[in-house]
Amino acid sequence: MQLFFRRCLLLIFGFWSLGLCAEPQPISVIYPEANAPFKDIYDEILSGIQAHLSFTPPMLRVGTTIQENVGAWLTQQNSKVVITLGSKSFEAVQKTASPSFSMVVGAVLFPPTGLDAAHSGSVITISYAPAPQLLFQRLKRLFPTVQNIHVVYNPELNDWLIKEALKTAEEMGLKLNAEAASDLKAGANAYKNILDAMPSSKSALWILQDNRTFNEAAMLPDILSKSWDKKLIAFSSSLAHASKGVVFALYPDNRKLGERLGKISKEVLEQKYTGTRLMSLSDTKAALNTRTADHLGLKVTREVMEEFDLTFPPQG
Amino acid sequence: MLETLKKHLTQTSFKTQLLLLFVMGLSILAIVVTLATTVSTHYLMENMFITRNKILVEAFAKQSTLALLYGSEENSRDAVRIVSAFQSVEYAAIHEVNHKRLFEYGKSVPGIDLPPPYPIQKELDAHWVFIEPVVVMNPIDKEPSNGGGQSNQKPQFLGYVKVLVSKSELQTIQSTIVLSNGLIIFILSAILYFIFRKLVNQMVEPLQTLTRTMKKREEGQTGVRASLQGAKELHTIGEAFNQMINVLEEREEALIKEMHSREKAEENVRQHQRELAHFSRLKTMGEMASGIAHELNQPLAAIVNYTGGCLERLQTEQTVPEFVAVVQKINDQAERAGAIIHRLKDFLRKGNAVTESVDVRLAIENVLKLIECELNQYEIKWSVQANECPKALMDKTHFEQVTLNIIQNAIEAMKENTEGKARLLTITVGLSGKEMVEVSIKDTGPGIPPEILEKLFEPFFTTKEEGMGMGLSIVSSILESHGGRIQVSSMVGEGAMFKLFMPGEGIRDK
Repeated sequence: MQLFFRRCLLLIFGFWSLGLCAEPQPISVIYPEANAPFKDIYDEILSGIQAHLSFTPPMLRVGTTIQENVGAWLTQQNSKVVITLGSKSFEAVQKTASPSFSMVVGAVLFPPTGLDAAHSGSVITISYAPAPQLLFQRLKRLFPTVQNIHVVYNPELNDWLIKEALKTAEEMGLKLNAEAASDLKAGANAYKNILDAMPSSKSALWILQDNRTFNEAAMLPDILSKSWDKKLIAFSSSLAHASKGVVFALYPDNRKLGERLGKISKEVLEQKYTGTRLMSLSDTKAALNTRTADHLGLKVTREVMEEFDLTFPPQG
Repeated sequence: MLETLKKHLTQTSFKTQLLLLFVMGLSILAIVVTLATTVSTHYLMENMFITRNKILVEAFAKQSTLALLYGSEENSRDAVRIVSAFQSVEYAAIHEVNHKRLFEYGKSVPGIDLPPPYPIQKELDAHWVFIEPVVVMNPIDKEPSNGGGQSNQKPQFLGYVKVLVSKSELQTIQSTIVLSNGLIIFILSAILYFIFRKLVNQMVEPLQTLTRTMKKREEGQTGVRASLQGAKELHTIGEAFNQMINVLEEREEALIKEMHSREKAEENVRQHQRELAHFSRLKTMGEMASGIAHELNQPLAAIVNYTGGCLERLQTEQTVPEFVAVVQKINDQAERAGAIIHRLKDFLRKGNAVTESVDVRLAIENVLKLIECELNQYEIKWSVQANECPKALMDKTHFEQVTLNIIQNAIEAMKENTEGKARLLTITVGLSGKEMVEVSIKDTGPGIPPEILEKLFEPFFTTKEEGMGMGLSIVSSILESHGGRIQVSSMVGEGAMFKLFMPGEGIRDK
């Protein structure tokens, strides 16, 4: 008898849950299909989004090819705000959906392009590029003597970031020498010139995630080799570079990024959002290459290490 | 060629043939294996060579990325240093996108400036040309998705590298491999040859032993038997040989016994023949006894007369010289009687036949002297014609017996001739061919009818009432035992002629 009641209760709860799920939610999420280890990244972001919202948003996973049913799904959801993760998700929405909702874009390096006029006003993007302010602060803390920062960038991709960086550097009393380069070859030569001319103690090289001016496979070994030889300070916006030899790097804190995306979506929904439409990543973690730090004369104390989430080589 | 080979094979030993076949097989196998290995190795090495150089050029292209990005000669030199370490690389160059040469190493050859698309891999007479593009992969978006781990990168073409590789290294390796293969196969063949030779020796040894055993048997050794060893077939042959030898030796033993008994029988026959001949002679003597008595009567009568005369002279006291002449005559007559007795004794001699050189004419005259009395009694005139003086190889007594028998038959035939026809006995001595002495004895008797002629030499056939029918049979067998023969021809009413043929001495030399 007890078992019968228990089953009846479970059935009623199931129908109620279905009724809840079927009800349109104001915020929905579209994210790309990914395999490990990228799947974990999206899972962390999604968990962050869910943690901030008071409800579970409907989620659609899109494959490697753009799905025809994205538009229909969005119409069915009738959401006011759509969070897209990654450029593929953004492109899927852009190509198939009607512009009747606001978009919060995350997990992309560069601001999305190709949006039509009707859409442009309702898109807020959080870049995957770590905020220059966080980078410069950590640089100053580790190497207080540094006065000049050199960076190579492609104006089409990273002009917005460099503007933010210039402003931040000025505020922090640093001089940012940003070399614009149109292509890989110009970028390579710019790096070469910087490394050849750069004095060791007062300058640092910021290796930006810029595909058009920097190729990791071809250029990073040479840059790191020269930096090592001349004891130059090189830091980066990519975690992978820290493992290969730059002294430190900042990388995204995905959970916090998700929470921020959720928060912004909620603010947009409630029409309370007053922030910028494009922003660098302020939710970051840090990685330190202790070997390079030691080579540069940095005293890697316990306190220093505690400031970093990851160290290379890994500490026992 | 094939015939020569066949002839050669039939003249060589089984072992040599086996070895020859093995060597031929091994040679063919060695050639085929060497060729097959060489061809397969050639292609394998060529593929390995190409693959290695492809990897080398790909590595060179990767190393050239920085050089092309920087446009730096120093970086180019670093990249080329790696590829130039390989001896077979004769030329290497780094080109930019616009085909401008950034750096080159070594000496180029014509025909290697090839248009895109790259990569290119082209074979020249003495070289291989490899052209590899230098590209960098740029991520389109550096974000976590990246197509879910799939490549979401766009290649950027920076330039290309060109490498000229000499084939000499490959050719040297290929030649070395061919040589090594050949050497290994040769050594292996030699080892196999010696092993096979040993095995063949072991296989053939029982056959050779069997052959030696057969040879011993062929040379006349008795009691030889094949030892049963080696292959199953050789066992069978050995057993068959032993069985054959057993049968052969049994037959030989039987044959020897047969020969002994036959020799004994022949000896008996010869003994009987001798006794028969002696008996025949005794019989002849018996038949001749009255004639001989008459013959002996004459000298004895003469001796009596001469002795009586001597007694009268002694009584009349005549002179000694007259006695000498008379005694001489007595002596002559006594010698004559002695000669008659001597001839009789010779004729009746009993003993083994001795082949000797017989003066045919002299022997015939002796016979005629024995029978002279009968010839005279029946008024038979005889003549001996001899152009040659041949000598026959036979027992003298047997010759005289044969001749006497034929002459007696002639006398018998002619004494019945009462028609006044002349009684003539003509004996002719001559040669027949190169080896035989021929004696013809012709009479003028009544002749022999043809139906009798056929049976004339059969034993116990006679036309005489008191005859035994053994005379001519003995004559024929005596002549045959000496390697001679007898022929007879006759015309009824004209007489008969017997021809005796005997082996002659020294006739061939003449």
